[in-house]
Amino acid sequence: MSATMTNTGAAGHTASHDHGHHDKTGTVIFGFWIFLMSDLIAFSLMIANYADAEWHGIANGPSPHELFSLGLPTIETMALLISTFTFGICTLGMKYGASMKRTIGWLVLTLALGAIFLGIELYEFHEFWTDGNTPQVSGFLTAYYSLVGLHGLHVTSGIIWGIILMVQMKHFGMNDLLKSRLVRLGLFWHMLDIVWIALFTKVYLMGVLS
Amino acid sequence: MSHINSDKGMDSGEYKHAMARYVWGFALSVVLTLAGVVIAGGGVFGASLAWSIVGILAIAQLIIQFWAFMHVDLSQEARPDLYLVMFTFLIIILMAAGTVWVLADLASRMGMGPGGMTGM
Repeated sequence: MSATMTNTGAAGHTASHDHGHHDKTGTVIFGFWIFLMSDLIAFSLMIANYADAEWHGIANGPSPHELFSLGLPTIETMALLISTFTFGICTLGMKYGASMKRTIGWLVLTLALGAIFLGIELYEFHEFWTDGNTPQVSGFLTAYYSLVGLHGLHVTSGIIWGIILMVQMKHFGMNDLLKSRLVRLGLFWHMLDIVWIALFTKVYLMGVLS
Repeated sequence: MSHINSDKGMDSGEYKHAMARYVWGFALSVVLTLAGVVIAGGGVFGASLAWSIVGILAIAQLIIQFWAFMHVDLSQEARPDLYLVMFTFLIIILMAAGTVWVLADLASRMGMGPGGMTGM
């Protein structure tokens, strides 16, 4: 396996002499991939922590089965799933020479769906909180708020990043640097939906089954 | 690895081919998500069987989304990304499963059954 990787590396090196500019973009995007995967490891450990707290850390608080219902989380999941699709339409069109207006349009739709996702999540937090189910109640609730909240924080930063990119597009016009940034935000957004599959399944689907 | 520019336009077959991958990814994700909700909420299967099925559906959707949206496949171009993802999941299995194992073992030695320290 290591020999294969060395070969791929050598091929990549040769290619860099032919298309220096493209390869630099490729390197930057691969570097961003490494960040995304380290983020994925962080999320997986938060899920491991949650799995333990849900099992042994109920204390005198509610169990996942008593706390969760599937209605709102399903709508929330659909909003994020549609948004990862619309982001795909946005970046794919950009690659094939779509107008900046089209690119920004799909990006606005994506970020709006992200905001809907976040709104539902905050509404649920508020409902739980006002029922007295605060993070202090049990290890399970601490793990729940920190795991789902960490994901929500990522979505929030993705929305802010997208708004900043739109301002830059309006200001500088579309160029290769902004395209590369948009592709990286796209990868970030797709990864957030992949993380959400795991969260939705572990926290909500398996939660109501517990 | 992803590129940011193509020589072809949005009316090209290459664009339509690439778009089909997104549409497939989205459609399959919707089906798998709704199937998971129905199985978890419907009560047709027993709890432990339903638990296993939604777990398998989630892993399937995970692979589909890596393929459709993040362009990880068996092509030479995507090979570095594929190796990176595989290594990441090796680390995740070691660290996350190891964490759950150690904490569950600790809990059983401390006499904390499922449901926790109720009444303490």
